[in-house]
Amino acid sequence: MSDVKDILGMARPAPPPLSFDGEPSKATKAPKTKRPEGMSREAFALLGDSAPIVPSHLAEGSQAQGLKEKRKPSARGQVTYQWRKFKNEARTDGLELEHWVKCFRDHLGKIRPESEGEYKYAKYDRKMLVYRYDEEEWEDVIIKDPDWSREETDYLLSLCDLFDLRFILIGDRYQFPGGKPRTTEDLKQRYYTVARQLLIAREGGESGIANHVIIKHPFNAQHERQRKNAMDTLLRRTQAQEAADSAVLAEAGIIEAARKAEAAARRAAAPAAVETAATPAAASTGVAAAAVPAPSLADFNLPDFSGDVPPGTSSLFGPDVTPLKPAKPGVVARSAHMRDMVAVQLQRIPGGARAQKAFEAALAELGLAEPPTNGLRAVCGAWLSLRKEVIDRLEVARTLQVRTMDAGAPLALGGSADKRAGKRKASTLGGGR
Amino acid sequence: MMNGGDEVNALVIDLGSSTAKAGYAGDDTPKCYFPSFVGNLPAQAGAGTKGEVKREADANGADHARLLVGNNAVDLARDYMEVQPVVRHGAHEDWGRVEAVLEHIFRDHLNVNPAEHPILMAEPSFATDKARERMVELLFEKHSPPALFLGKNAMLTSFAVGRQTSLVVDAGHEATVVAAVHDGYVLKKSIVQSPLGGQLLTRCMKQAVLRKGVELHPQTSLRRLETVPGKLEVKFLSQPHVTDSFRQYHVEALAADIKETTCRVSDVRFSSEENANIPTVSYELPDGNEIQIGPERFGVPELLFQPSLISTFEGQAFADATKMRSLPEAVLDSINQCDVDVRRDLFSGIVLTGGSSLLVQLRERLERELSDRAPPTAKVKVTAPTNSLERRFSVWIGASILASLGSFQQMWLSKMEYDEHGAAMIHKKSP
Repeated sequence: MSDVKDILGMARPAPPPLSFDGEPSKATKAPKTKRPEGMSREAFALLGDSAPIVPSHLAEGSQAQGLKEKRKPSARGQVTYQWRKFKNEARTDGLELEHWVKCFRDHLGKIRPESEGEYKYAKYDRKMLVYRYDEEEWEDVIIKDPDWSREETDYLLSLCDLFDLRFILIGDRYQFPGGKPRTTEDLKQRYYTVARQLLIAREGGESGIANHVIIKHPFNAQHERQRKNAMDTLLRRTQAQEAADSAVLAEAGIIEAARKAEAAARRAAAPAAVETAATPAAASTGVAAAAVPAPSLADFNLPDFSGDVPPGTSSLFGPDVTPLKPAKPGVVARSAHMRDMVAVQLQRIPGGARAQKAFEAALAELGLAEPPTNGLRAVCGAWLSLRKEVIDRLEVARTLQVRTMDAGAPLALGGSADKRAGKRKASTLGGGR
Repeated sequence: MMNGGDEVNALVIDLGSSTAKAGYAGDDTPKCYFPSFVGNLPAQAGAGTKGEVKREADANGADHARLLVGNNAVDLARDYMEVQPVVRHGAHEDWGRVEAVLEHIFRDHLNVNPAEHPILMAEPSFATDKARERMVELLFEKHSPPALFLGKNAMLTSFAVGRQTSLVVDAGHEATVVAAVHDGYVLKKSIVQSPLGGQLLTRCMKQAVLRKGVELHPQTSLRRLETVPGKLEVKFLSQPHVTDSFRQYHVEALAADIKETTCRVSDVRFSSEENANIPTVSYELPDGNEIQIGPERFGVPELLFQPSLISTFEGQAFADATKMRSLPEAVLDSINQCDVDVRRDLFSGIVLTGGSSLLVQLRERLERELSDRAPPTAKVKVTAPTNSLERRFSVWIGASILASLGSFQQMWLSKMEYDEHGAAMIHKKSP
C-alpha cells in the first residue's frame, strides 16, 4: 500500500523515530480509548477500534445492579435475625412457639421486626362454609327425619366441620356409636337436606336464592348410587373379560360385513336378472338371481374375425369393427393401424375425459390394459370389437344409472355384473394378452 | 419450601419396626437412626457390664432393671442380655421400651430438652385410638413438649413424594401396609396389612442357606486372628451366657445382609425348579466361608408375588392362611375398598416405599403385575423415590416437611389444650 501512495504522491505519516535499541518509542502511541465502567476487560479487548463506546442506557437498573455494586444500606437499619416467640392468630389457645424473625437494627440501636402484624401464615387457615343450626332452628326449620336423631345429625355436622366437607373422608371415618351403617350417599343426603332447609329458612323463601347451587341442583342420592354402581362394574372388569368381549365384537363385525357384502352382491345381480325396480328387500331378488343359472358360453354370439373373407374386403378394421379401406394406398402395418383405431375409439366415447378414464379403469380391471402384440386380422378385429363392447356396456350402465336416479331409487351400478361377463369373454377369446 | 416454610425447631421422631429415626424438622434426613431393639439386662448381671448407654426403666413391672438402646447396645455380646423388639405387630406392647428409646434419643443423640421443642411423632396408619391416646399421655406427662402432633405413616409418605392423593405401598420390616391417602388424609377403610415384609424374607433366606448345610456364625460370635503371617484363622468364642434371642437377632441380621446384597426380583414369574442352573453369586460369611447363592436370589423375593411358595421354606408358615395375598392382590384389595370416585386417581398414583422396596426391580415387576390385573380403563403407574435414603426414611422426611410448613403451625395440639381437654383431643387435632 505504501508504494501506491508513493506513486500517487500522497502524504504518508512520518515513521516513528527509532530509539537507541531499535524499538519505536512509546510516546507516539495512539491514545487508547478508556474501557467503560461495567464492561469487563475481556469484552473490551474484543471490541477493537471499530465499535464506538457509547454507554447504553438500556442496561441501567437491570438485575445485575445488585451483583457487582455495593448494596445500598436500607433506610431501616442493619439486618439482623432474632429468635422470637410468635402468636398464631389461627389458633384459639394462645400457643406461642418460637422462630427466626428478620429484624432491622437502626442507628439508635433499637431492633424492630421487618413486618408487624399478624402471623404470615394465619390467613391460610380457611374454613369451608358448613351450615349449622342452633336450638330454635332445629325445632322450627328442620323437618324431623325418623332415621336421623339429633345427636347423629350433630355428629355428622361436626365431622363436616372437621374434614371441610370432604365426603369421601367423612364416609370413611363415620362411626356414630350405636348407629346403623351409613353410606356416603346417605350422609350427603342428610347434610344437603339440612343445608337446603336452613338456607331457605334464612332467606325467607325460595325465590331469593333460587340460583344457589344447593337449591338449583338438589342432591339426588338415587342417581349417585346408580352412577357409582356403574363405575364400580366398569372398574371391576378384568383384562380377560375385556379380551373376551372384544373377541365377540370382532366376530360380530366379521359376520356383519359378510352379510353386507352378500346383500350388496344380490342387489347388484338383481337388475341384471329381470326387473330394474329396486326392492328394499334385497333378499328376495338375491334369491331370484341365485336361482337363475349362470349363462354359458354357448349363449353368446361370438363374432368371427377369421382371415377367411371374400376377396376385395379390406383386412383392416375401422373403429366400428367394419372393414375399412385405408385412405392412402400403400403398405399399412395392421398393428399400427389398430392402434390408431383404438385411439379413435377412445376419442369417440361420449362423456368426455371422465368417461374415457372410467373406460380405461374398467379395462384395467378386466386385465385388458395391454393390447395384443401380434397383428393378425382375427386378433385385431377381436380386440377392437372387445373394446367396443366394453364401451357400449359402460354406456348402457351409465344411461341406466341416470334414468334410475331420476326415478329416485338408488341402485348399485351394474358395472360388476358387466365386468364378470366381460371377464369370461376375455378369457375365452384368448386375445387378452 | 423457601416461601412456605417456617421452622420452629420441632423434633421429628419415627419409631419403625426395624429402625427408629429422629431428628429436627426441616432437615433432609434424620440425625440419628438405630435399630428398633433394646437390650434387656436383668438386675443381677449389673457388675461386669461395659455398656455405654445405661438407663433405668421405671415402667410396668420390675422384671428388667436396665434397658440398653442404640447401635452399640445390641451389637455387644453381654451375658444374659435379651434382645427385644420395641414394635411388634405395629403396636408398642411394652411402653417401658418406648420410654427408654425416647430417653436415648433426647439425651444421648439429639441432646435436647424436649420441653423446648414441639414434637411430631409418626404412627402406623392403623393405630388404634387407645394407642394414640397412650402415646400422647406418655409424651406430655414425661417430657412436656409445648406442642405435639401424631401423623399417620401413609400421609407422611404421601407428603414426602409431594402428592395429595396416592396409594402408599409401604414395604416394611414386619409387614407391608397398603393405604390410600385422599386429599392429605388416610382412608382407614382402605388399609390392608400383609405379613409379607422384610422380616419374613430374611427368615426364608436363612432357611435357604441352612438347607445348603452352611452354618451361619454372626460376627459377634467369632474372632479372626492372624496366627501365621498372612493367614487369618477363625476362633469361635465361648459364650455360654449369651441368650438365644441375642444369637437369633444376629443370625437374622446376617441373613438380612445376604438377602440385601444378593437378592433381586425377577421380571416374570419365577420357578425355582426351572431355574435350578442359574449362575450363582458368591457371598463371604464373617467366618471366611464363601457360599454360592443360586435360585434363592430370585426365589426369596418371589414370595411377595407368589405367597404359596412359603411351603418350600420349611419352618415358615403364615399365621393366618386366609391372609395369604400377594402384593399386587393386596394393592387391588385396598383400591377396591375405596370409594369408586377416587379409584382411578389411586391407580395412577401408586407410591412404593419402605426398606424392602430397595429390592432391585421390585417396582417394575409390581407395575407389570398390576397392569395385568387392573381394569383396562385405568392407567396403572407405580412410582418410587429414586434415592435409597428417601425410600427408607420417606415417613420421616414427610414429617420433617410437614412440621416446617408455615400453614401447619395452626394444627399442633398444645400443652394447654391437652391440660384442658385431655388426650382425646388428639382425635380432633390429627384425625
